[in-house]
Amino acid sequence: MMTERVLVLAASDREALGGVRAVPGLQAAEAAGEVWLRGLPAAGELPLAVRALPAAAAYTLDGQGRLFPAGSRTPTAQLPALSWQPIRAFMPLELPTAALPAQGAPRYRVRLVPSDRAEGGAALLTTLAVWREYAETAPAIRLESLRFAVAADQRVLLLGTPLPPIPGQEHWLREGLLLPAGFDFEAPLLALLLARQLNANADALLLFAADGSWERISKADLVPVTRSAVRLTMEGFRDE
Amino acid sequence: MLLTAFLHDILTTGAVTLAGQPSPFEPTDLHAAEASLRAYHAEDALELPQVAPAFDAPAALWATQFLYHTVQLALLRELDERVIGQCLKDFAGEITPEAIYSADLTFRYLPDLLRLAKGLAPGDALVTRLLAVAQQWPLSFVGTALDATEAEAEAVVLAHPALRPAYIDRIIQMKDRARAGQPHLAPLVQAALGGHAATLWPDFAAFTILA
Repeated sequence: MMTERVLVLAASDREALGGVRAVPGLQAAEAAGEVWLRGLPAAGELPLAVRALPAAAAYTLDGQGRLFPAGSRTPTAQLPALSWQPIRAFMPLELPTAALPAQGAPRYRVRLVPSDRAEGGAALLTTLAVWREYAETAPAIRLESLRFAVAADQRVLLLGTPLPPIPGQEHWLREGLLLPAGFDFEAPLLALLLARQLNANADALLLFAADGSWERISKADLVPVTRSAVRLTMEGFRDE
Repeated sequence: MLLTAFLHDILTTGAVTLAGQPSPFEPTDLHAAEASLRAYHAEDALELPQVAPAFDAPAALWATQFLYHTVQLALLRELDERVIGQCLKDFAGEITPEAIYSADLTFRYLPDLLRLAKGLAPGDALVTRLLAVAQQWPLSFVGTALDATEAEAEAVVLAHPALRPAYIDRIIQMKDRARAGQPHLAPLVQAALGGHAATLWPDFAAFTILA
């Protein structure tokens, strides 16, 4: 009595088995360059996906493990002892290789645009020469509420209020970002995202220019203003 | 090296060690103290607006000894007016900007001592002596009550381009309303505060209008 049908495929056609992963009870094994399939009903029409397989041979299996070629009453072989696996284990799912070249995350150019919002100034970007000239004679009370940092190119960033009345680019503070006065992000929600992305530890200030470029200034580099600190900083540059 | 050690302590820790009785200082001690004062002057001058007055060694040394003896007298309450007169003599030299600033290096600690002495015995001879000195050295005694006799000494301060703003800075820092309300000082204080007077000294406008 026939128990089931068995199909044999060339191992090179293994990929075709992807179409029959959903057929219930199907088992597969591979040996000697061939893929064997079993678990198909002995009678009746096979599912379309099975019929579409590029089978090299099709057999009917009897209870003794003998293989009968389709339409033949004479067995031609014995079912080999194979390591059978459920079809889903035999053909695990794999992520397909992208058919198109990989794409990076879309890039967004940070743009600052003129804004009609009037915000109080929180910082002033000026030069060391201008700053020193002011600090030489400024009332102490106007200095002691400020902190400053000097860049190698002698730009000076001053923070605090009130800011000194000297020439420079005033900035306003938003989420730890210093934006030029009169400017805001083209997409205002960007401020929070940028702050999280670029200054996750909140240990720095990001100084933006009107063209959208920015530089990171560590809070540790901002020192309290004293007249001596300004004078000694200036001397340090003269010695270089 | 009593004076040198005293100077070092007061400039660094604020806790000083003194001799039990007033006595003159050794020449080597005075010499070492002068060197310390000169170095401190150079350091302190960096904080002064404009160009600080030059170091005046006699004034700086006199003021340091004056401070030393004042601390002694504040602690040794049994010493009488005679000892106070001997130890706390007036400065023998001319009171120039250089002398004012050099003396101020240590005299700036005297107002605190005056407040302490007033608290211990408001009417004693030491307090009277310190109040008299306060009139002669207005830069160092900002925050101490004014007297009409101070005008001449104050004029020297106000005439100097570095001492004038330093004086105004101290008036603002000490919130010395009596001085800030003076007609000749109020405009200078107002100029220093600029348009931020309401923030930096909230009641400045109120008491200057009343004055």
